[in-house]
Amino acid sequence: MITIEISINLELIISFYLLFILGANNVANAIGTAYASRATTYRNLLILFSISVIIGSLFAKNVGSTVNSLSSDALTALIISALVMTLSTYKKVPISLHTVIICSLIGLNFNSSNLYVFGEILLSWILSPIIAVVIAYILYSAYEKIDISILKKITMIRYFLLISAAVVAFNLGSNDLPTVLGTFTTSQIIYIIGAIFLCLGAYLYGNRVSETLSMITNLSVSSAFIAQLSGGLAVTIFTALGMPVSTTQAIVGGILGVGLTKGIKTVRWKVLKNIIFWWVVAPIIALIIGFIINRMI
Amino acid sequence: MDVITMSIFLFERDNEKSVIDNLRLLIQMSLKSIELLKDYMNSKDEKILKEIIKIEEEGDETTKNIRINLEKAFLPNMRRELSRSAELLDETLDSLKHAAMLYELLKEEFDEYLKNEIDLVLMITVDMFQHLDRVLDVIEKGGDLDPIIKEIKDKEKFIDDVYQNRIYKYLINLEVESFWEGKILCDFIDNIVNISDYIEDVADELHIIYLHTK
Repeated sequence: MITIEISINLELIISFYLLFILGANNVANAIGTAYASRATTYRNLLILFSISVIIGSLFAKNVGSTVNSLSSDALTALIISALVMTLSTYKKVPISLHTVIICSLIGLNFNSSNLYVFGEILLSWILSPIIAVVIAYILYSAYEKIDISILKKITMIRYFLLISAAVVAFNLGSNDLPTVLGTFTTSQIIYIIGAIFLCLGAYLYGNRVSETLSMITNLSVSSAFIAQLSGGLAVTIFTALGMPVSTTQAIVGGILGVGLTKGIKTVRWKVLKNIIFWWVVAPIIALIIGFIINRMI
Repeated sequence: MDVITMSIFLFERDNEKSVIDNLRLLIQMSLKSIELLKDYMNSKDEKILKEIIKIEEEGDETTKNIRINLEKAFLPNMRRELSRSAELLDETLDSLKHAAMLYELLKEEFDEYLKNEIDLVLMITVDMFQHLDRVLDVIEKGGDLDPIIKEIKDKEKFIDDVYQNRIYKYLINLEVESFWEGKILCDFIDNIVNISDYIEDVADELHIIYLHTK
């Protein structure tokens, strides 16, 4: 008989809390467009989401190991992350969980080997949206060339909406989840339990999906799903390389890629500048907080 | 690629099909109603008027079904246009019913000139409805929508021209027995002419859907 022992500690409680928030905040990103387009029922989408997250958690080891190699003081990093994420949600400032966790880990444990890994992660953060731009540009250009009837195109869009929802949910399990749990463990069983907490957040706060509905009705669904799918695929590439990257940042790259197919003038550079500003500032703040706490301890 | 294409062909979406079929049904109802109106203008047979009214009531039911089906059909950014299209087609049935009811109130028959002009407007309207049916064909089976839309717009312009330059100018000089006789006559003609505007609007709404998927 196999006995699995899991000791409940503060790290586990905080990380499961973070995963719960992650699930609640990201379920709309994953299934919102598919739900608004009635690709299938909400119940089926939640099942697809859960299965994809749990399958993703089975491929979480790569990213988990990378994050784990940085970790020295997981508890402090998780407390900083939980506080910053709660504050940023309250203040509605778009900060990625990846950024906060990785930068606080680096700030807390500032040494040369960590800096090398941090350099690689930083490069992934820069490259993942760029790769998403390229994928979105190619996919959208190909999509525009498809010559089938409107009804068949709608059916095709619905298939791809389900695929892109599954890819984004898979990334939550294979990249976001090990970024949180990798701070203190590489245990597969903890990853699967974490995936269940993530799904629980999605089930209990799934009503946020309806909020995205009103937004999506004004959007071109084809542009939205191609941006989502491209972002998702870019993150999957980096998951395979073991790099923790943000799906949201990659999706922004996807949106830019779709926009570029319509010409460079259609891109709202002011909005993009604001987004990039937070991408640069947020890690610096997290690094400084981690570094100050490290010095104080 | 072949497997994906095959699955798209095999995957039947009943909700979309039902919306398109009901839009076609509204077009068929309008065509039937036009034929009945022509007969009614010749015979003033009460039964025909009742049939026109009955078709209009059935049209309300069909429009309601389209709205219900739209909850689950098509993509979110297309539903407004399709709902509006159904509403406009329903308006054409209303116009035909009102035209028939107004005709019942007219004491005198139309003279030859006016009758011929109205026949001409109705004939072009029938043609416009047939083009609208072709628009639905393109949505369902594929093809180029732009030339069909252009033809619908040209025909609407022609009807406008007939109304402004021929019917209206003729009406100004027409002697009528009373104010109400004149008003009923004008309202009757307005109801007939307005149908082409509705058809053009439906074509525009469906054109937007076509552009959404481009």
